[in-house]
This record gives sequence, structure tokens and C-alpha cells, in this order.
Amino acid sequence: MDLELTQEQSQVQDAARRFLSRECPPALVRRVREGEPGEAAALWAGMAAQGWLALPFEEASGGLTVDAATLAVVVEELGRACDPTRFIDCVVSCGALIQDAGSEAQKRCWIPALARGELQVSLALLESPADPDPPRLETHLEPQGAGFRLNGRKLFVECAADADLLLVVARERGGVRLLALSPAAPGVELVRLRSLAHPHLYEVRFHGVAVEHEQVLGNDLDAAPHLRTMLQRSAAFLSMAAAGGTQRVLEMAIAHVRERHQFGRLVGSFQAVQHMLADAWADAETARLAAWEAVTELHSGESAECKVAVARCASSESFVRTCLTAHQVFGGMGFMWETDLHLWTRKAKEIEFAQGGAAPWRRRLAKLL
Amino acid sequence: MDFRFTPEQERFREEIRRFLDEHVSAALRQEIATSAHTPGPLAKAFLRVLGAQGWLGIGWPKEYGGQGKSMIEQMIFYDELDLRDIHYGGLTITSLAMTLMKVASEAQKQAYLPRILRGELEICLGYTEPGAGSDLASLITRAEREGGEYVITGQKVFTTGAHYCSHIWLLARTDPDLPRHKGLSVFILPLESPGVTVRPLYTMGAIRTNEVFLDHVRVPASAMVGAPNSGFYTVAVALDFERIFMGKYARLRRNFDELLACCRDLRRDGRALLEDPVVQERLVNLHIAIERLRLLCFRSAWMVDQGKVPTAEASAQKVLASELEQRLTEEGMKILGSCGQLEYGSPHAPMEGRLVGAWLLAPMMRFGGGTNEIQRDIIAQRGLGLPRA
Repeated sequence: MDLELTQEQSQVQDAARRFLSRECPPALVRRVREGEPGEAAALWAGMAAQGWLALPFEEASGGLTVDAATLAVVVEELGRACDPTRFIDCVVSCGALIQDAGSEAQKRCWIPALARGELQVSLALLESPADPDPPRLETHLEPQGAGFRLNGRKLFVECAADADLLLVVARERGGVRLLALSPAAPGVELVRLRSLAHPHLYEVRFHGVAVEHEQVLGNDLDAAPHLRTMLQRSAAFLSMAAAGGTQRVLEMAIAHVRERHQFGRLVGSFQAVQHMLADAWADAETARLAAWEAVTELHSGESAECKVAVARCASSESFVRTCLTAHQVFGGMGFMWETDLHLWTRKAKEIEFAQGGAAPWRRRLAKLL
Repeated sequence: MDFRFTPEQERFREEIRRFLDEHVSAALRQEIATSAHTPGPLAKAFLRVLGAQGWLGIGWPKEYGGQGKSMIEQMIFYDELDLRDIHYGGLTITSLAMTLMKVASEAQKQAYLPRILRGELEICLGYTEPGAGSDLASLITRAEREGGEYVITGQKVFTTGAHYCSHIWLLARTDPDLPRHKGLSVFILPLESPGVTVRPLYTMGAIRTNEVFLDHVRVPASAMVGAPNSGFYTVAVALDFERIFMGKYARLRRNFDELLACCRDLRRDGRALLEDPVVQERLVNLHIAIERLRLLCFRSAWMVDQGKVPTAEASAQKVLASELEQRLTEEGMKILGSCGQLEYGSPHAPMEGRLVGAWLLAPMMRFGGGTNEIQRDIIAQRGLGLPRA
């Protein structure tokens, strides 16, 4: 057992925190949220220059082959900074799918571009407005000529209009396929959703979209196992981001009550306030440990699934709960549009809902019990 | 970051399990189930068996006959005992003996430590008084110097263990003229001393505790532990050793697993309780909360092994563990329905009535050992650096 970062990981953490405090201030988070994803272009380029976009990939594909823990350090820092980019969706989720399921040619084509920040990919996974675990995919491929036609719709696709590629999960005969297509392709219709959480969510409709064989990942491959691996891995990293955000919000609340006076004394000296923050601290600390355990034990079989499920549920709940505690502590000073706290509150809901949310993990945990 | 136990630690856990499977008799298990948290003759005998194996000194330094094992290994050891409700001497072993090593005279060490290590001597805490609970420094039990002796008069309450321990670790006022927390001293004395009367206090949680009356009890000056008027410091040292053991998770895990087994067996509306989504939701929440506590326990243990002091961590452990105990038992009773109210010995009692027993005991966990409100003060003030009220 060794429950702290290694020296090397601490250095990565320091560097990431310095970089993000410079390149990703709350003002930028706000601009992206109020405007378009393109506002984060300079940050994205900077992240590419730091090598972060190459972190999860094999060296052979142009990546850096770091361990999950180093990637987790970066993701935790992104969570702290309320990261307005598509890092988890594009790099951690789509990137891993391409790495795992893609052919050699596809990997050569997409991964180096992705790692350089020149290719933005969005995952098109969910279909039902309510149920993140559809019993059966409606979106499907049918053979047509030398290729396929794609029909169906996807929901909650992040930044679809600004993506270079959508990575679509679709059914073909009995199996599950992954295919990459441009959101600008004929027959693709984008409908903007308005969410309190993610600022750029879309419904994507496919009206007989032509798909070539080269756009389908791998060869005659059932993508379902890759999808499961990706979802588990991404859930662990979403937990890490939530843990980072939770810590930051708690620090903001503590800093506030150590400065603000009422009744002639510091707000932080009131027991009622201290106890709220003491509970928030225990919440944040245990959520962080759960996230770290999930990340470091990703490859340990069934117990990994259990730990990821615990982390996913614990961390997303704690993030939201800590934000709500912070709102109580800040009072009106956290409620105004121009103050920053609500940026994290929205991020907390964004992470909670991402990739179908924690609910499927609760159901999985119930089965594993 | 690495959350795994080493192969050596896994082997150690196996060794303890094998030993306990072999040596914990059905008769002992029966005694534990019916003894209302008072170790009976078999439990006392088993304490000596643990002593003979050298396991009571598992965390003690080698120079005192201990094994000097890491805190992680101690946690593994106590988890296995907790899972079986085995009496191991509690804070006599984990806190008071360690405090003796740090502050006691050589003669006191010789007098007490070897006997504690063999499982022959147990000490109860004499802190709380009728007028001094959370505000311990307001206590009024007096110890007055007369020649080579102290004469102690006063009353202690909630002196849990006074009816089965041989000695009491007593905090008394030695100098009423000093500021209130500076005039206190710790004494260690036999409960059989003339002038000591132990009376039972029965509680709603079945556990028996006591009040202890001290009427001109004469002890030699050598019964004082540490320097005169340094009692509050000595108590703080003891608390630092005790802290990490106040919020443990193994019993919660055991009650949860047994609750789970009941949910597999019991049926409602033609299906197992476990198949009811409402039940599943409740169980999932409890499982997540126990996992969080487990991680925090090992985080604290790991910190101790790194030479760090887990102050906020240990206080949070105590808060989480005690509140989770109340929640687990409350939710469990709701999940089980009508039979959830049945006590040990009743027909149809699930979990041999353990859930009901733990529910009744849980209020004590929340206020005992430093109320959860004081623990939260500690987290906020010592952990988060917030100012004192």
C-alpha cells in the first residue's frame, strides 16, 4: 500500500496545476460555456504541446504510453480547473476506442492527429432520453453497394457541431459496430440540446448516411467488449475529474469563510459552518480515495468493476453535494452569475450525467452484490 | 498510489484467519452472542491465548516484547478479530499501554506492560464525570497529596469496563489553583483498592457500563502516570494512540454482508428481497459508504506508518463509522420489514438479532469517544485551519 503520489507524479501534478492556472482561468471556462467550444482552441493546443493528448496512447501510434496513474494526475487537475475542453470524451474515451478497436491504418491515420490536437472526436453512444442502458441499439448499419447506410439517432453527443469526427456506436446484423463519420456528411442532422450541465450537447440524426468500409473500426469485429472496457475506464477517469473538482470547490469555500466577517467575527468560526465543511472534507477525501483506487485497479477483473462503480457513484455525488454546500457557505456571493462557483456546480452535473451517468453503475453494483 | 496489500500482508491475514478458525470454539461464539459486550470467562481465557501467541503486542515496539508490526498490519489483525467480535483488550492494548511506554516510570512499565501483553491485565478509562462530559477539563474528582500518598475522592460515570477490568486509568484534579486543564494528573490504580465502589449502569443498548465512586482512596504517589499536573497531556497522548481505532469498518462490513445474505433468503411478493430495486438501491448506497470508510481507515493507517498524524482523517473515521452504523442498522431494519424488530433469541430474528443490537448501540457510538460534534470541530479547526469559535 502506498497512498500518495510518487515523486514523479507530484512533479506532473505541480506542472499541470501551474499550466492550468495560467491557461485555464475561470474566465476562459466561462467564455467557452457562454460561447462555442472553439474558445478553448488555444488551451487545447497548449494541452497538445504539453503532450497530454498523447498520454493514453501506445508509442507505436504516436503516443507516450504513460501509466493510468499519470493520466489520472492530469485528469484530476483538469477537474480542479473546471476544464472546458473535451479531454475525457475525445482523448480518454474515443481515443481509447480507436486504439483498441481500430485497424493499423485507422490508428496511423487518427491517433497522431488526435495527439497533436488536430483531430477532435466526439462519442455518439446514447440513444434514449431516459435510459442510459438501451436494451438494443436502434441506430443501425445496412449494407448498400460496397458500403453501408446508417439510420437512427444519438443523444447527448458532446460538441458534435465542432467535431471533426463522430464515433458512432451502431448495430449491424447481430453485432455492435463503431464507425467514424464527419458531422458534416450528407444525411447527418444536428439538433442543439440545452443543458444546465454541458454547454454544447447535441442530438445527432442519421438519415441514410453513406458509410464506407474504411470508416468502420476494425474488421468484422464485435465492438461490444471494447465499449465495455472503454466505459469502465472512462468512468474511473470521470471519477478522478470529479474528485479534483470537489477538492477545488471545498478549498474555495474554506478560503471564503476565512475572509468573510459577519456579527464581528469570521464566518468560518461558527460551528454550524465548520460542521458543514468538516462533512464536505470527509466527502471529498473519501471520494478521492475511491477514484484513485478505481484508476489504479482498472485491470484487476471483477473487483475492478466493483471499485469503478463505487468511485463513479461516490465521486459524482460528492462533487454535486460539495458544490451545494459551497453555495450555502457563499450565500449570495456564490449565486451571482458573475461569480465563479456555478461554473463548477454545472461541471459537477456535467460529470454526473456523462456517458449515461452513475445510474448504470448503481445497477451493476446491485448485480455484483 | 497503490491500494493493494503486499503478498506478505495477505499471508498474514490468512495466518490470523486460520488461527481464529481453529481456536475460536462454538462455545466462545455462543458466549460472545449472549454476553452483552462484557467479555465472559471464555473471552477472558481467549485473551490469554492471544497473549500467549504474542499477538496482543502486535503493534508494540520490540523492546517491550511486541512485534512492531506496521499500522496496516495491525488494521488487518483487528479487522479479523472485529469480524468475529473477539475481545482483544481494546484500548488497554492499543492506547494505554502505548502511552505507558511513552510517559510512565520504569517501575510502572515493569509492573504493567508484561501482564498486559499476556492478557492478564485490563484497564478501563476513568475520565467522564456527572458534570464533565465533552468538557472534560471541568472535572472535580480530587487527588490530594498526603505524605507519600494521594487520597482520591470523587465520582466517575460511564466507566465502561470497570466491572471486568482490574485497573482504572483515572484523571483527577491535583491542583485546584492552576488553570483548569493544567491542574490534572493521571493515576493508575487497582479497582479493588479500598474506597472504590463500582455500580452498574444498564443502558438501552444492552451494554453495561458503570459509575465508579472513590471515597478517600489511598494510592502511593508512584501510582501517578507522568509528571504531576500533566494529566491533560497524558490524556492527549493516549487519545492520539486511540484515535485511529475509534472508527473501524470491519463490523459494518460484517453486518452488511449478513444483511445481504438475509436479503437473498427472505422473500416478499414472490421474490427475494435482493431482487427488489428499492432494496437494491438502499444496499448499493450502504456498500458505497462502507467502501469510503474502508479507504479512509487505510489512509489513516498508512499515514501513521509514514510517521504522519492522521488527525482530521481519524476524526472523520469516527464520524463516518458511527453515523454509518446508525444508518446501516436503520436501513437494514426497514429493508427486512416486520422481522427487522426481532431480538436475539426470538423466533424469526434475522442475523441472530445483531442488527437490532447494533441499532440500539449506535447512539452511543455517535456520542461516545468524543462526540461527533467535537470530532467535526477537530476536522474543521485542526484539519481545515478554521478559527476556534
